[in-house]
Amino acid sequence: MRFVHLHCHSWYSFLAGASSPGDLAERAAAIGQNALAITDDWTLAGAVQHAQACIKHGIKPIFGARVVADGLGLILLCSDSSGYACLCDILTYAHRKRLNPQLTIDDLANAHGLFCFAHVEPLLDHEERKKTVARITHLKIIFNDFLFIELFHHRRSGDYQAVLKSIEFANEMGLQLVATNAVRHATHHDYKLYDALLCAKHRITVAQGHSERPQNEAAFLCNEHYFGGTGIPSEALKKTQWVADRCNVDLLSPEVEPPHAAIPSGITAEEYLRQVCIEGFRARYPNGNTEAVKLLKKELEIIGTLELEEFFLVVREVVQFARSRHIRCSGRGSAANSLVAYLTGITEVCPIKHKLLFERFLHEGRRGMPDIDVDFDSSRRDEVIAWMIERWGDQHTAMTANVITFRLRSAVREIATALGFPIAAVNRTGRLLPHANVRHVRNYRRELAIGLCGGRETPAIETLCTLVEQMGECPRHLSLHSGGMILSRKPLNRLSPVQTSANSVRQIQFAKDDVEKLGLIKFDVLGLRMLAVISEAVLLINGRLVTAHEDISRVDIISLNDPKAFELIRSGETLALFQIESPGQWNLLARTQPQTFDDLVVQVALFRPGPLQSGMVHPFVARRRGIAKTLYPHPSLEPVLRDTNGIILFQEQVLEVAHIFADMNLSEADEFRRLMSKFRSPTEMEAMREKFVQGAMKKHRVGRALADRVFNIVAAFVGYGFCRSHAAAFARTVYQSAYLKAHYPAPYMAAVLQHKPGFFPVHTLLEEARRLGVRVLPACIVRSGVKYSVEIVDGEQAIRIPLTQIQQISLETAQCIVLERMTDPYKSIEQAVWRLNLDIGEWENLARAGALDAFGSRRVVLMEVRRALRCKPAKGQYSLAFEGVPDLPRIFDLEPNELTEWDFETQSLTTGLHPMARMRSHLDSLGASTIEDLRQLPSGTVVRVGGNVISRQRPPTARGMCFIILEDETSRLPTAIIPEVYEKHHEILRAGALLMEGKLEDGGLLAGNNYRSVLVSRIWSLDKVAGGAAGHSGENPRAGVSR
Amino acid sequence: MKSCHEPVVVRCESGTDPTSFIWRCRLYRIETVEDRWRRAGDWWIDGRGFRRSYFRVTARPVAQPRAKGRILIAELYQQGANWIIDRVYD
Repeated sequence: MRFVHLHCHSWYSFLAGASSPGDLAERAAAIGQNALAITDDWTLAGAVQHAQACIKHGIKPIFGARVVADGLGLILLCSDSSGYACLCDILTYAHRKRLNPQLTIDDLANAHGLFCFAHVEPLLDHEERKKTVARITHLKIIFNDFLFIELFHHRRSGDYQAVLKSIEFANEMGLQLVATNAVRHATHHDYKLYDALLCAKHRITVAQGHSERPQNEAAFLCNEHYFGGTGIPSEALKKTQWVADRCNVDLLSPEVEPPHAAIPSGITAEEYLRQVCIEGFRARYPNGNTEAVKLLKKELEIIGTLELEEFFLVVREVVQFARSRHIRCSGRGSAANSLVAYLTGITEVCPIKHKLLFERFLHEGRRGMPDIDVDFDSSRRDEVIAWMIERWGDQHTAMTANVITFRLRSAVREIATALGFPIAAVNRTGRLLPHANVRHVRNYRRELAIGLCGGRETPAIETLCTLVEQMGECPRHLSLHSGGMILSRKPLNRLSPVQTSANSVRQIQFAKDDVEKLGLIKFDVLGLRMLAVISEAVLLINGRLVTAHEDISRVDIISLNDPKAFELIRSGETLALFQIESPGQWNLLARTQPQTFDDLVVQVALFRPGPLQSGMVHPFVARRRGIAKTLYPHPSLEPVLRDTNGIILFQEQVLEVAHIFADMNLSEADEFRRLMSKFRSPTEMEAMREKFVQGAMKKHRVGRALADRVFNIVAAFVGYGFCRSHAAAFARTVYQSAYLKAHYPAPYMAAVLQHKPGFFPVHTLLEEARRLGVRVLPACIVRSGVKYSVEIVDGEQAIRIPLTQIQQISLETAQCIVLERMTDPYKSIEQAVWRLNLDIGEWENLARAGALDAFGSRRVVLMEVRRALRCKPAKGQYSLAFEGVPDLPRIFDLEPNELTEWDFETQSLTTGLHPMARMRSHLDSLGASTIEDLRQLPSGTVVRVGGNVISRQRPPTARGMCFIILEDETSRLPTAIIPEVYEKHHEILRAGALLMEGKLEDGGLLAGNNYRSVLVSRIWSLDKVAGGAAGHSGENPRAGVSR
Repeated sequence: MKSCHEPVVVRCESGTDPTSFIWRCRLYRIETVEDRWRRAGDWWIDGRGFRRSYFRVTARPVAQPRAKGRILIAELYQQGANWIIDRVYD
């Protein structure tokens, strides 16, 4: 007798299953199962992983889902591909509303190709039984011989009787029986995690009861012997194999076609793509280019072989639409390696000029669809998506899902709450933990003990760590992918369940990687904030709305060698620039000193884990700056590695090395690169090494040692670097941002403040604007708009803070204020209060932020606002104005420190003095230098410096190091804190402003005075200073230094 | 139904099902085992928790085998080597 598990939940049942599809398949294979079904609640989200895992373990995957129709729990299993399409359709219908999925039995009326197992509750009263009989009769009409009564026995009280009653019921109805174990976890040991997850799902603690909570560990993947003594007949067990034999769906080999492109009638897609390329060729290469002609011919041939013509034409249509609406866009990723993409206008990087390899993007041996990623102005990306849905129809378009998995903080929060720790303690612990993988939980036992148990290590902490560690990649829920749009010729609801996201967007249930495995066509419509910044800056520079095409292309046609832009980049003052604004890049820029656009391409690629972790950066800098000789691993590699000084920086170089040195053709070389960049087992790695080494030894007659050395260089890099095309596309945006910052600081910084593209807080961006000599004007009800704007004050450009920067002032409120002002300017507080329908909180924040300063000092207008609101007549009432309201008493103005505090409370920034400037004399008395002064001091000097914390990071890969950036009124300073100092001061480090002492360090080789950092040895909290990363205290910001 | 939660001495003659038990100094012979189930819980307290095998049985005191109304319905559970009588239905 063979028993097959046909009712099995993975952790894609979202908090109602505790094991991954991989673990379930592994366990099923281990206990001798020949097939395994996945039946998650209302979803197929784990189906692709299930298919892969089952194939890996040599068992047959069966796909299905558990649904509830008219209160009846049903398992639906796909018998064939039509059944799979039908299940997708049913689940799509169930998810038609945003709230919980719902179905009735009538909704299943057209079901076909599906097995249906109904679970009948045993304790039914007469009325309920009658209803159940009617429902089962209805199901019998729909599913006929494919309907079964499901029997399972979870060793609970009453289960034996329930089984007997179900058998009796099935006999009465003339239905077949099938046995399952309603599996929720792979092994006994996973039961605790399942219980804890269910408690988290139902928002209860483990001490509280719930009907769905398991009473024991029975819902695991058992073998048939487990059913002994349960009353389940052997026929029901045998039937599982019969059903399994009839379930045959090959999920991973679908035939999917792209949607129809707009092709003129009478010609084929192939002819049209050729025609478009020829037109593009004439525009891009007016003087001709033999190399390009040859490449175009080759690319068109490969595209034709893979039948991707329509895919290119579809992407071109989207890009053309964006350009027609002046929506800034830029192709990125490996697609920029394609000349066809360049000629059709999808990308702006010439593959001939940048020596890009088409094979990195596409080759005849490639499996699945290629990725074409296009960045769009983030503020207008929704217009593009809306157009795509309209163009191809909502049945054929949907967004990719994003599986949100538990991270350390969220996992600790959920499990600790379920274990019954007080919410306050859980919140406190969350603040102590970094953003890290759950697998690192034991590294933070001390933080857990401090946060949850006042520093004591208790058994509950161990339980928490064990459960959190076990969660691995456990998904929390599905969300919307940032840009992956699925396009299909067939209706999508036959290929995947489609559901509605929280913001009413249609999304499939599969994540990005699964989509590729399914062969669905994904087009990444990505929103890039920096493109929004560039568009906004251009608008502000022009001082008017864009109507002509030349306006938007202004920064697109500038030369790529502007001295001022490069001077800015070399100075390291790159805050608010694209890709190169991090402290690591400040350091690297100080050493590399880029001179040309090609240097920028290298700069973007250099600051990646591959080059950084493989120790290539120092040799590269030394060689590039001429203090070390460029060496090549082998003379044949000189043409490949010449422009990167003998070092592998780009993925294309990996292909070329494999091609030239190891004698692989380019398709094989890309396959080699792709395999090397995935997780490799030692056996696979050795096989690849052997192929590479043998190829090199045969072609170049080199020794094994040299061939091994080159392989090791390639292996160290691959998978963690950019492809050259991607770096070139990004470098272009880097250059544009630098050009705008260097030449148009006020409009550029206003645009940066508006879209906040980087990771620095708004007050740091404002400080940067001030350092560039741009005046910043406060938010003002009579001057400010809804966005950051540029005004001319005394002949100079200045940035005006918008009303939307003030807390509680929404975009709609700000629009009301501005529209009302356009009809008639506000002449007094009373008039403004009477004309605008704002609540007291909004008025108070406007007053406290200084937006009403035009009518008096802040405290006075705050009182006047309250008085005016008291006197404001209700709708339909006649006003007696201010008769009978006493005059205001004399009110004193705010102290400067109070002003700063109010600014930070209401806007998270201040237009007044920097908080550190206010306490400079105090810092002087403590022996602290300004950050700017540190540039003049030699490396190794012990210094003391105070500042607001603008960034605080402790990445798990940094072996306990903590990195903090301080900011004072003169500049910013990166600091590094070694683990011993961190342990001693970790409580203080949460403060918003710090005084630090340590050894001054320069940026290393060749950095000169362009870079300074401090290796910290002592730390004090600058208590109650407004504006730090920890926020403000809410109290009067009197500066004091506490140990 | 009475909740008792008292230790009992149980005899299992074959397999794992109980056949007789001594409760409050009286020997009961188990006539039928009506239901069996398992419970696990409290795993969060010390990391291990408990695992129990429950039996709902009908039993009769051996001393008065024919006495009317003396049939006892009881819930017994085994936790490790210990047996507990959890509930009694008269």
